[in-house]
Amino acid sequence: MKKIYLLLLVTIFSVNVSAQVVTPSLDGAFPVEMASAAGWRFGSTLGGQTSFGKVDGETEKADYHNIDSSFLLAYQPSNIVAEFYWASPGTFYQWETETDTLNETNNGDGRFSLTLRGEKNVTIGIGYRIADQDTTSDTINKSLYEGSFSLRMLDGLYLAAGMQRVTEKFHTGDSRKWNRILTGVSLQVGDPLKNLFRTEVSFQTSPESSVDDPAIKPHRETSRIQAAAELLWGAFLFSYQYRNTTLGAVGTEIDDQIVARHRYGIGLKIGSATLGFYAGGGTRTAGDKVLKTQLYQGTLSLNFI
Amino acid sequence: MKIAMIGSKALLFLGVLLLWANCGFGQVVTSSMDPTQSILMPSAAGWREKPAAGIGYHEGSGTRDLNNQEIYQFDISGLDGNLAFTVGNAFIEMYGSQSTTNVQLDQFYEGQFNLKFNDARLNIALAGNDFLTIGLGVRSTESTDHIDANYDSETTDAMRAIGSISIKALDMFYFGLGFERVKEENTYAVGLTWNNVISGVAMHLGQPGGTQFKVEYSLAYSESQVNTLSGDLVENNHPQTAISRMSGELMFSGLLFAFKSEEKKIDVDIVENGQTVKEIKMVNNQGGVLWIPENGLSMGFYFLTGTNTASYDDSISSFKVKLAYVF
Repeated sequence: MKKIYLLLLVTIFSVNVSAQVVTPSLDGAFPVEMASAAGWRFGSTLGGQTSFGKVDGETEKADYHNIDSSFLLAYQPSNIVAEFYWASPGTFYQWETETDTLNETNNGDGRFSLTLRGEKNVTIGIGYRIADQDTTSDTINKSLYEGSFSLRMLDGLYLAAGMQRVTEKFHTGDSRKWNRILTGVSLQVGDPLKNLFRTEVSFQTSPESSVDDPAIKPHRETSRIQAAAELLWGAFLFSYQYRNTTLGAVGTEIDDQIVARHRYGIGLKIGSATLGFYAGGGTRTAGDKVLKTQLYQGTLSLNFI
Repeated sequence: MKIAMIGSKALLFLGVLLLWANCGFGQVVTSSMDPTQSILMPSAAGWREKPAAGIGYHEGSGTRDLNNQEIYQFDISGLDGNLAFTVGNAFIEMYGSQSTTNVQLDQFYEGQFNLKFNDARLNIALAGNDFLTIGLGVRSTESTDHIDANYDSETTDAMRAIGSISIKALDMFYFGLGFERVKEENTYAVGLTWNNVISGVAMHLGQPGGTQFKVEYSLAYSESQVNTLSGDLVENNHPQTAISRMSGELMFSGLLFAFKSEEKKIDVDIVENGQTVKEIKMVNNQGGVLWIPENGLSMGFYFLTGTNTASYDDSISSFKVKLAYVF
């Protein structure tokens, strides 16, 4: 059992959260991936989301289940932005590619970021994040420290980079650590009270990291590219996001895992409130094995610009 | 720093946490553009651009390997604070830090392990005509170390008196020279006094408020010093030690990108964990980004890595956040 629960830990922090790296999503219910991005929020935000999904494997399936529900508060009294995010322990299925089986886990996620915006062209952020993963056999405590910064140029072009130091502690007393490097570019033009277009491309990577205990599989070498485009057009918000993650093979595995996902969304703005509905689908592939996933997500946020 | 002879067993006493906790970092010739970064040589205070008060918090973890097997895992955390202000043409800087290490010692292996380290510094510099600064400083450190099963929490106090001078040439070059007298006392070995000589050179391009670039290199050196046993106290030996420090800083649009590196080499001749050790080498690197306004709130972070190599190999990484106010 111990061997089983340690397969796809890299996904704990990013099961279904559509966090943005350089600038925050126009749907205020989503947290930022890098703290420096919170500095570009338009005012303070209160939001929540819930998501459901299903997984179809070739030998096992998981019908619709609650992936998680989350709450977000971003408070911006001046040029300082404090963002709290908490996601209830939801259900996520890890994929054991060698046996093509699904293993249920319950993941919680808590984040805090503090960001300082300087002269409207620079942000610098620090972040702390904790996550617990409960499985039928063990618990993993994961924590993350982050430092990041971003620059705004030509009024609408944003560049950002940061590093996250991740530590995973296992029930056995073992722990493993690695650094995740994130970088990205974003373009944002328009007026947040009228029409606004935003697009972003980001990249993140982390190396393989292992512990002495051979029963615990290493953290996989991971690289991810993510692209997003959002259009706020009067009272409507249109959203698209694509994410492609490569998880390196470990141990006796031969093939890397490729996780690809598309997500489409539409939102309605009523006063300071935004209602959003998202649908997505994707695949996880390892060699000739394929796992299909579906996602439905609802959001509600209040924005105080 | 010393080699204490306890019975027939040679034990290294090196203040390793000094490096883990970043206490060893500090500017020698000129002050950092980071208002929270302390100085080591007092005359450097005279080149500080603006008064500032800053605090930092760091947290990290590390492992010690012996013969490619992990023998310890540990967590470190600590606080530090720095205050810099001027009175007339006197530049005054105060710094304090505390760092602690939590380690599970199920089985003890040879090799000193630092448990707690406190550091306090007061530096005063006088500056004249944008050409010369002269400074005096005192530094007090307290180190608590696990040495072996019998000496599992020993405290060493060291008091340092420092005098230094630095000059500016051709509007961009800085040269500094300092002398440090160190007096060390602890509960189980005789007291010991030795001298450090510190020198360095720096180059600073740009003006405050605009794009600036600064590099600095410095070297500190101390000869070995021995004080023989007396009464119940054992012999104390400070080994020959050389520390080279290098820093680079680039600031534009209010963002400061700072990198610092420190390498310490200690000449020893000991047998530890069945191996003959001739040199102990400690390498520390830190890189970070900070927002430094003309005045107001400043914030930033550093990532730090460190290695210590003796009969064992330590690998340490930590994260530090900084908050400051620039006046």
